[in-house]
Amino acid sequence: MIESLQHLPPAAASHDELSGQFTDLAPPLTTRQAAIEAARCLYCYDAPCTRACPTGIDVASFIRNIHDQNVTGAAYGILSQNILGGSCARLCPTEILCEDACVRNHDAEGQPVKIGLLQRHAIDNARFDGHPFGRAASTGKTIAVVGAGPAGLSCAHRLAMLGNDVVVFEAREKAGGLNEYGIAKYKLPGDFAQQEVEFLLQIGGIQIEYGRKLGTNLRLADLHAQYDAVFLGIGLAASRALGLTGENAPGLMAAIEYIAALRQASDLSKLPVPRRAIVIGAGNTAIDMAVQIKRLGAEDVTLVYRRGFDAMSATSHEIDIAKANFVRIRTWAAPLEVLLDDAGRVCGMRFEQTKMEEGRLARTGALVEIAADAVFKAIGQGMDEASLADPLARQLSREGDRIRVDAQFRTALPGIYAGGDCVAPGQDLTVQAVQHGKLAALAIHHDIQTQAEAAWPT
Amino acid sequence: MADLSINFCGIKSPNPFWLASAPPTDKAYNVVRAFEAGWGGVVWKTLGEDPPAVNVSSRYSAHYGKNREVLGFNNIELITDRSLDLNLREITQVKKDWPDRALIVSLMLPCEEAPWAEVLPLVEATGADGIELNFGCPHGMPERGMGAAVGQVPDYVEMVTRWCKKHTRLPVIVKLTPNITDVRAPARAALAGGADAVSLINTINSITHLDLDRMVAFPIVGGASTHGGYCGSAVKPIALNMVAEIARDPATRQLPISGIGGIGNWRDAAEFIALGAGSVQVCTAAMLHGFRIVEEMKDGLSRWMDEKGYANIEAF
Repeated sequence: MIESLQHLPPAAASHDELSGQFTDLAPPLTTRQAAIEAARCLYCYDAPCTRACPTGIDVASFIRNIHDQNVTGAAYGILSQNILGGSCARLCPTEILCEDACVRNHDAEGQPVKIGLLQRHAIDNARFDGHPFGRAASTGKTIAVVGAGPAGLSCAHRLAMLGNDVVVFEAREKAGGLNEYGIAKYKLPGDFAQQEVEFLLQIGGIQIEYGRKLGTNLRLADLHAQYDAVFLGIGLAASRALGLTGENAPGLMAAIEYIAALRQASDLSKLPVPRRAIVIGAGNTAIDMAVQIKRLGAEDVTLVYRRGFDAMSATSHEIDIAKANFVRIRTWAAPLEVLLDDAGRVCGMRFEQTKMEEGRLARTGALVEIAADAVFKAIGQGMDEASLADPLARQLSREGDRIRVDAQFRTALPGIYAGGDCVAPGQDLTVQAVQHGKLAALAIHHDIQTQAEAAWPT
Repeated sequence: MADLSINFCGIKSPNPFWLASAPPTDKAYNVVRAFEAGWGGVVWKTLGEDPPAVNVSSRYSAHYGKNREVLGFNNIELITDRSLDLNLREITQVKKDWPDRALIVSLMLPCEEAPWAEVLPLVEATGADGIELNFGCPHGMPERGMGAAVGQVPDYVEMVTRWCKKHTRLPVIVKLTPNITDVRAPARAALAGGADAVSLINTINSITHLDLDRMVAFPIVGGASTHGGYCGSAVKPIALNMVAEIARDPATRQLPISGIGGIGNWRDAAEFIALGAGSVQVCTAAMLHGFRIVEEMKDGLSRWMDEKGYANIEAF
């Protein structure tokens, strides 16, 4: 998977030493800490944290339950709104969601309740007697879900709760989507993503077929014909290109692919690690990449962005993580040329400095060269067009490269729904994908039941 | 799931969580909101003779902890400030709309038989499930020979309870004041008068703090103050003790007790029930946090009962 870096030496440290670099970024609260933190919650009426949560978790309620030592009740409340509440507790950019909205963030304290960590405390310490959710009476319907990422899994679970059977088609060898393949290791350490998938599947009625990729060995038309409905949670599988010569040179690769290899590596010391690295991009994936390569032993990591800090899509919390890991952040520099050595390998990049001119980004003509043994691009993901190449898939209405859906996550094609990163508009957050999946499941169930009722003989 | 329903001296309720006679139960609007939130019952704020009392403002004063959390507060609110007829009409409608919930009417009338004989049939006609005698209100009403002025004299407690039993078929709950040396005495008197249950505690005589510039206690109305009744989390230890005293007094052992005093979560409720209460009443926590706290109370109590293997409220 990291073929383009095979000429680079492996990490200098041992697997055990490196593993120590990828422990919990935000360690769990102790019971005592959780009690103190829960006591800070004001249990607001019409709580702003709940309004800020894309999945509508009743934050005040679950925190009150923690405070009253009903941790299982707290977890039940979270999971009833967000079945991936465990990974969302770890991944959510709470600093722009619930914790940003927290009343204690805005008064004289400026210190929000640690909602994310409390959510994790509840999920990690709940003791359920079996799976907490039951299934409604069987509808006799089977729905195809394409993609076992957060959107697809959330959709499948809710459909199963409502009494439907679900077949999930997953292109890769594991379920979890970006939770398994695309998130920094220190955010979801251990095999939490797989544990969560196992928990979710306990509900029953969900079957996952691995190695089934839309556009390769799976056709939308067939799914549409064989199942009562189809949900597309296919994400954005293609990394955007820089559009420069040298794009395919050894030493240049998509950050998301390196992160996937890192997440799946059984021996971190075998990963190729550049001495000097450049990461291009300004989102959370760029930060994940820059920080992780630094922790693997790269001496010099520069994150380059063509605009200023204010325009970075990474949250301030993420940028702080980068700074704390000694990642150099170079703003106002646009990629101009990939520099190659005599062997045709990446040896650096040339950038042109930029500035804002009458509200538009303009090039200044001033050049900057940064030496590097590897360049990781993290400039966004796009639709893998091969997935939507079959005749029926081509009829999906699109918005940019994403699939257009209505408020109930129906695509332009009856019986086909979509959610998660592959639809527009989106913030590309795990928690939002979970909500899409949940709402799509409700719409699918409603639509199928409505059709069934309409078909009854009168 | 554990069965949270109760039958408290003949009053049925889907769960043991009732709202105490207080501002949150002063009118149909609030009681309906409470029932929508899931409360098992309410004790409607104390009714009295017309003309109704006039309430002043401000009438609350809080005692804060080091982190500015409210440990307790006192109040100088009187009984209902609305007419008897308006309250009775609303009670009738609410009970009709919410037949499965417990609706108990709190009453405070002069220490003469005639007013009780007159008002009790009117209350009974509303369809309410029971009455609670407010013998505990420590401020405003004792000066008129009612509330704690009755509750502090066991002979009066017995006498008024007997009138009530004579003039209504409804279960009679006698609400006791904690402002007394031995709470067992009025409890025994209530039983002797024929009470079906007691509820306790009412609020505790208190001064939360003073305005040291003006040399007057809070809450201040027109430059003056009075010693309000203290409630909230801070009074729970006192209330638990008094409930336990009555529950283990051989003379009143069988007397049903509705526990009141600083209950804010399921654990508090479970403690009162464990010490002998058959239902619990909440006010301060609902005033501080809103009606929806009952959701976590029911969930927590039910999960704990499941974990411990208690099938119903009487099992522990």
